[in-house]
Amino acid sequence: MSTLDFLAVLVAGAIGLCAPIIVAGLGEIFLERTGGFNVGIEGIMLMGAVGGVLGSHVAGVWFGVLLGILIGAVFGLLLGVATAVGHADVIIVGIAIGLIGTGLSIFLYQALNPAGSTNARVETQPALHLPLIDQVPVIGPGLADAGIFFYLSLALVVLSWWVLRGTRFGLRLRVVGDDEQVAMTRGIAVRRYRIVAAVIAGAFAGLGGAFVPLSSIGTFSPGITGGSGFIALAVVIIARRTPFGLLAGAVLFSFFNSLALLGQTQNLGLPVELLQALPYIVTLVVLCVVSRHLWARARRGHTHPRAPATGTTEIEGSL
Amino acid sequence: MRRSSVRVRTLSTAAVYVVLGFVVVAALVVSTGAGLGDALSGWFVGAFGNGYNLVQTLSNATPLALVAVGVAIALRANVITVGAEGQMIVGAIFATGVSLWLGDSVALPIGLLLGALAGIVGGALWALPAALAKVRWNVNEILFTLLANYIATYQLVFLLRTVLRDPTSAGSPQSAELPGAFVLFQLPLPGRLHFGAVIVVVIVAAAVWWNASRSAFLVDVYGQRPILAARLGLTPARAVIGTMLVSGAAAGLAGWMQVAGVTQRLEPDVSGGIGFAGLAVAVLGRGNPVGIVIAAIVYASLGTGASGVQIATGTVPTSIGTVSQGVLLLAAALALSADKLAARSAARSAARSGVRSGAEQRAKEVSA
Repeated sequence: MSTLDFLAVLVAGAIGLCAPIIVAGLGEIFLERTGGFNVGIEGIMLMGAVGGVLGSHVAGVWFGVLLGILIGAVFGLLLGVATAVGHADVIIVGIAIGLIGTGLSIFLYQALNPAGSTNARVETQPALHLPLIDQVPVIGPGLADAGIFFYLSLALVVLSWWVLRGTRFGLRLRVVGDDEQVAMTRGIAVRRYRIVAAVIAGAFAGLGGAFVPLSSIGTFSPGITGGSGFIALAVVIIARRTPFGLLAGAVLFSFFNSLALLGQTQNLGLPVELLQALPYIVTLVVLCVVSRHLWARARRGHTHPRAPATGTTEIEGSL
Repeated sequence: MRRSSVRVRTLSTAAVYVVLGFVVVAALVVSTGAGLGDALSGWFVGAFGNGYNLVQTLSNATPLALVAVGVAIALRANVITVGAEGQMIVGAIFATGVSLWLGDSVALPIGLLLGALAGIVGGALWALPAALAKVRWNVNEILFTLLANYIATYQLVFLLRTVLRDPTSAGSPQSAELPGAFVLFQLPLPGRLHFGAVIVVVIVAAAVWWNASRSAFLVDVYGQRPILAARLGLTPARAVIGTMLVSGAAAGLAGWMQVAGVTQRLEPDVSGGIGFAGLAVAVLGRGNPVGIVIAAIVYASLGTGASGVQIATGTVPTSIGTVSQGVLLLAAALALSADKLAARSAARSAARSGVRSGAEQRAKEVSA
């Protein structure tokens, strides 16, 4: 395989893997813009994944996608109500929701697939092949066969960017997170916006989770999302809560993930475990670099610096 | 009088949340076609019903309690670590490495000491980067420790495939058995509970003592008013690094215990999901060492009881345990905030009626 071919395979893998992270991260952006944080994102994605498989089994892939969104939204509502109305700690509620989602996804899987029965494959995303674009070197083949879910997530990136930047709803959402007092004096229903943002975050996480089994595997297995939710959390911080930054970060992570997958079938001269850990190492390093930059700017800049380490600066809005 | 009525009210709200939560769990059980009575008695038998199951629950609660005591200390400084998983893994790797390397050249008590020490060092070392990154660059410690857990897992898989692999085992990747001098002996009970449980009890007692000390008070002050704490001599760097190292050391020690006491060799699933569980137990125990022990036993009983539920009903999967752990934590989070809100509104109304506010009263109790 020539270097160019190798790169093309890598890029195609990355494009195929990034949609769940992008979508889950978009929801997290809405939530964090109102000062929230969702540590339970991984559990909600798992529920979305199980819902996606169930729905697809019953009435086809798009019903699965819809079911994933709905289940995610219910979990988001739980998160929003517990934190905005019940004033419970976001981190603890997030962990609780993560546990419930993880446990319930396995519960549903085991209850509907008793041990010993075969794991039936459900309908996955319809094939999509774009003409012309596959002539572009390196990225062309990957983009041509990226699948509907990838293009759907791109559309959602643009949509989210526009909603956050160009609509009254997005502006109000940001005010709620930036300065609750100002929001209240302007007559914004802070609590309602927080709940709505949490529902959006849940729905997006559910959608991202549904993408995981429905993009090509077609079956659910416990822990199938493999930490993509947590990666989305990190990438959102790295991207400073911007949709296009998230897109770049998700593609970067998926690129290394694709390398790790490739390393399992081919000898790339490095231990396979190192390749598997590489996406997390890269994310961690970038997270440190970005945090350092933000921290230095906060200390130099006009915003009053907070004492280091009192809570988690990025998320402390509603802690 | 006012305070006690607040107490009663919060206790009843907490009870309402817990009951509501378990209505949901019960609905799940019934939805599989199982009887509620069967499930309940199955849970009790699975968790406490006979000597063997009771000991198994205690055995599962042991590392949970140890990890949670460490996490609770960091929590007091407002540091939220979910890195116990990775710290436990690295502690276990260090302990196994030292044990296999020294082999039969050391005698019993020294072997155990060295193993424990290696575990502590490994756990603390794995916690150090997260602490430094937080202090130096304000990196979110939740995300750092979450990502570090994955890196530790792959490191473990790599070592079990290469250097630490038991050459005589053809099947699953695992290390060779630890030499006798490094193995924790079992307590004379039905089932298997190793001597580490006694060590954890001693550590809990030490934590109770530490809780009343000046340094614990300073960490509390840091958690609320970092600048005041710095004036009292506790800088942010020392508070964050110190508490994270202690929590890492506790998790590393727990990693050593799992290897030296439970499996007697290093296996890939040494840490199974303890990252979030440790934090959950610390929160459920409200940061109080004795509360943590109780919370750890309850939390572990939901896991061991779930096997009993599955056996008794035949239709309910064991993952009902994880669901009920999450439900319990959610109920606790809501009850905790109801407690805080009630205390605050009581303080406000007391202040309005000219009585000394509850907050001041509490401050006085703390300083006394």
